[in-house]
Amino acid sequence: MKEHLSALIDGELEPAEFDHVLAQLHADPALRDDWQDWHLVGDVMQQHPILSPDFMKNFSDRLATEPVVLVPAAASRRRRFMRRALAPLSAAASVAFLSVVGWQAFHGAYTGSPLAAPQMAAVKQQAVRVASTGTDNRFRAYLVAHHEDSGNPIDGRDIVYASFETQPTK
Amino acid sequence: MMKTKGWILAGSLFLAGHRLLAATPVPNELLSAQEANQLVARVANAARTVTFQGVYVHQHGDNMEAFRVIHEATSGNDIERRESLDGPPREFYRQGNQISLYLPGGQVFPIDRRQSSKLFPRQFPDDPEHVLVNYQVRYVGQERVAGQDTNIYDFEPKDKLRYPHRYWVHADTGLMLKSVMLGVRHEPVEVFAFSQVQIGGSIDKRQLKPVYPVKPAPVDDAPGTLTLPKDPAWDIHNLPGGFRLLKVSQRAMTGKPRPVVHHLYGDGLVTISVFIEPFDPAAPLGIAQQAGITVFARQAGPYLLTVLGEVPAETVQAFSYAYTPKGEKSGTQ
Repeated sequence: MKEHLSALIDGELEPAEFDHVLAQLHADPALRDDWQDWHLVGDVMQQHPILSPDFMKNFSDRLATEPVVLVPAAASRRRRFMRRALAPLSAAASVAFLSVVGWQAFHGAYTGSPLAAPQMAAVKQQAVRVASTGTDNRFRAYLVAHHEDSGNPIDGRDIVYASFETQPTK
Repeated sequence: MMKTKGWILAGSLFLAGHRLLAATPVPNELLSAQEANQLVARVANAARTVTFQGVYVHQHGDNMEAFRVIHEATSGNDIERRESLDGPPREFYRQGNQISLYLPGGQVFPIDRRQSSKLFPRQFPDDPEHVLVNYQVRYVGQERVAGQDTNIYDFEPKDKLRYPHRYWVHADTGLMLKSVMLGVRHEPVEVFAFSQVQIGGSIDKRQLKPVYPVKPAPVDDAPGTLTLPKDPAWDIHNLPGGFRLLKVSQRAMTGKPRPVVHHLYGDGLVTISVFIEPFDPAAPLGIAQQAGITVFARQAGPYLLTVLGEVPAETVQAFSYAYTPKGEKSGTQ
């Protein structure tokens, strides 16, 4: 577990392991102490200013006692006139906003429809997954082929892959 | 009083005439069809006929690489050499239509001639209509790139199937000095830009000699076509508009036991690949996006269909659903 914690601090832990390690951290006070100590060591080595050990507690306490300011008292009277003057405008603005949103929704639906195959609706609900460059190698072979054939053979993003996979004979 | 009016009139006439003579486009206005046509032809031609050398940066996603490019286009000569300055050494050498490559591991694969002519700054096709049927061109203004004065043009897609592009074009020669492709949120997803360039002048012959042991690459010269691929196993209809079929091939692919069928389409600026292979239950399905490229994989009958390209998600999906397997016969390709 300690290796995992260390990897997490160094940012080298696999994202899949996050939940597990964080749960352990939550459950085990000894691990939490390690976590504190290692960060302290790191801060000293990187010459970050050291905060007092109970900084977080003090901060939370002070935050809790801060008054919640919604409207500064002095400004409120002047605002009232402005608000009355601006109310019709803001109503107009929200109508405008609604129509923009409506138009976009309509526009989106419209441009979607000529392409829509029956299966399309189902597929559209899948979230588009943004793959991170380093971890997702599953489509790399296709990318290599795509770039070779679309004429950029010296593109670096494919070379990285090609250099550690042996090329089958053609 | 009359005199002043006369001067103002004369002045405005002079200015109008000046504008006509210089043919300066108005910032933020669309180019007419004829102007757009001339622009694309001029930029495509400049990349072939202008002698230049410099260093450009290619940025895609969160990667950045620098390349040196030297192009000599003096009487009878058409020689181009590029080498990577970052990462593993790579080299591209072209003399006329002969292409040689040096890649890590020494592998060489066939090069499509029409497509390989599309390396920066040669991105425009020879046929302006191919691009202009899909994009409208807006003159944006002027900016300095790599110490040169350029005009900026936006290529705005006419439909939602493509991304917008912006090009910085050398004012004097028409050479493209910078190009940016924007993604869904108008963020730059792919950038090519000269950081240093010399346009014209003479080139030291030693600069044109390959540095690495380049090997000649077989050149594939098949012309593109508007007709659909004829594949006995597939019904292909309702392909998104504005794309031409460039190539049909079967290729071995890393990690695949059997060759994969590859259909390559292009709209003049970007390309889309359709890969067909027997369905593999372990294959990842769905949509992924990475550095401006969208990938969509799905099962179609007994096949795995993977579509990818420098286009929005809608486009790869539309391409994928334009392919329907005929019946359920599980033929090999």
